[in-house]
Amino acid sequence: MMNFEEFTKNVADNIKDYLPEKYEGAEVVLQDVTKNNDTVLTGILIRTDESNIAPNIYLESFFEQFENGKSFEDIMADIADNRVKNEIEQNFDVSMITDLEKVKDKVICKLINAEMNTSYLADKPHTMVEDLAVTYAIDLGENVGGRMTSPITNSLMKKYDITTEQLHEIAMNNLANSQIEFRTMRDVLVEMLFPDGISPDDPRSFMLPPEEESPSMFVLTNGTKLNGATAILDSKTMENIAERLGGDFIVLPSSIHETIVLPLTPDMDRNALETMVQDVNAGQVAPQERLSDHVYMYDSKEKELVLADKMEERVKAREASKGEKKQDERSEARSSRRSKSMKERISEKKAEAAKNEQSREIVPAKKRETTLE
Amino acid sequence: MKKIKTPNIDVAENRADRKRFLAYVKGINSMTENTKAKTESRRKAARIGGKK
Repeated sequence: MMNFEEFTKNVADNIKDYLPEKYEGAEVVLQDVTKNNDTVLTGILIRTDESNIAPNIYLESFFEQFENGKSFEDIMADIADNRVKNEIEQNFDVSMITDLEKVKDKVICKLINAEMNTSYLADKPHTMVEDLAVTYAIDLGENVGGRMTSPITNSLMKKYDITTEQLHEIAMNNLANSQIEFRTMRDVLVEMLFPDGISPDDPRSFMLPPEEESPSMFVLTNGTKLNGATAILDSKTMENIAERLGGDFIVLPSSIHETIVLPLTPDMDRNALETMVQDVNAGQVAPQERLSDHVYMYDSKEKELVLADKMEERVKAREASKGEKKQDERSEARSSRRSKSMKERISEKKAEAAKNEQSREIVPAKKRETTLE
Repeated sequence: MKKIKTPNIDVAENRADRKRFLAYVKGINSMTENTKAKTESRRKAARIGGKK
C-alpha cells in the first residue's frame, strides 16, 4: 500500500495519461498550501499555456478514498474529470487583484485564530481582536466550486501602498454595507432540518430549542454563511444586538463561518461554556474551521468584544468602583454633618420641622377610618 | 518556457453545519437544566432548614 507521499508522486507522474490531448504539454506541479489553522494541504496544479490560472486540486480526500479501497485508476479518472470540469479558458485579469482601485469594493475580512495560524499569518497583514486575527481577502465572486477569494499578502500590500489600518478601514466599510444575518437558533435549525416546516407536535421537534418569547440562542453570520464569524466585527450589528438583548451578551465561537450569541443570564457559567466550546470543537468542527476554544463577551458599555475572563475582571472592577463611590458619598455626607456646629444643626432641624408643619395636609377624621373586613 | 503568473485563489462552499449547532443546543439545554436542578435543590434545602 502506498503512503501519502508515494500516492501524490504517482498521481503527478501519471495524471496526463488520464487527461484529454490538449493537456499533453501541461506543466504538472505538486504544491503544499497552508490553509486556515495552519492545516497544510497538498494540491496538484496542472497548468496549460491557454490560461494563467488553474485550479489546485487537493489530494487528501482522494488518498482517503484510496485507503478505503477505491482503485488507483478510478481515483485518477476522478482527478482528471475534476481538472477538466474546472477549466478556466480565459486568462485571469491579474489587475483584479493587484490594482487597489479595482479591489477596494471587493476587500473582505476573515476572522481566524491567531495562535493556530502563526505560519499562515507570517506573510499577511492582519489586525488583532483579542486572540483572534482579522485577515483580508479579495472577493472574486462565485464559480462552480463555490466562492472564490484571493488572500491579501504583504507583497500585495506593497503594490497597494497602504497601511494595515487603511486596509482594515476599507474592509470594515465593506462589511457594514454587506448582508449580516442574526437569527434564532430555532429558525436556523428549522430551515436546515425541516425546509418544509415542522408542526409543534412533531416528535422530531425535541432536537430544536424551545419556541420562546425571549429566545436563548442566536446565530450570527453573513449573507453567504462563509467566513461569517466576521459579523462580530461590525460595530453597528453588535450595538443593535446589545440593545435587543438588554446589554452585555455572550459570544460562542462556533466556527470561522458563524458565532452563537447568548443573552447574559445567571445560568451562564463561563467555565462550563468554555468546556462546551472545547468539546464541540474537538468533536464536531473540522480542524480547518475551528475559530477558538474561548468564550467572548460583548461589553455594551465600552462597545467592545472581549474575552469572557477579561469581562469578568471588568465587571468586578466596576462593582468595586461603584462600592467605593458609595462609600465616598457616605463619608462625605458624614464629614459635612460633622463640620456643622450643633447650633447650626438645631436651627436646620427647626426650619425643616416648620416646613413640614406648613405642608401637612389636614385630613378629616372620617377619612382616617380604617375598614376592617 | 513561458512564465505563468498564477494568483492564489481559494474556492470554498457554504459550510453552515447542523452537527455543531445541534451539539450547542444540547449543551445549552443541559446547562439550563442543571441550573434549574441546582436552584430547586437549594430551595428544598432552604425549606428544610427553615422548618427546623
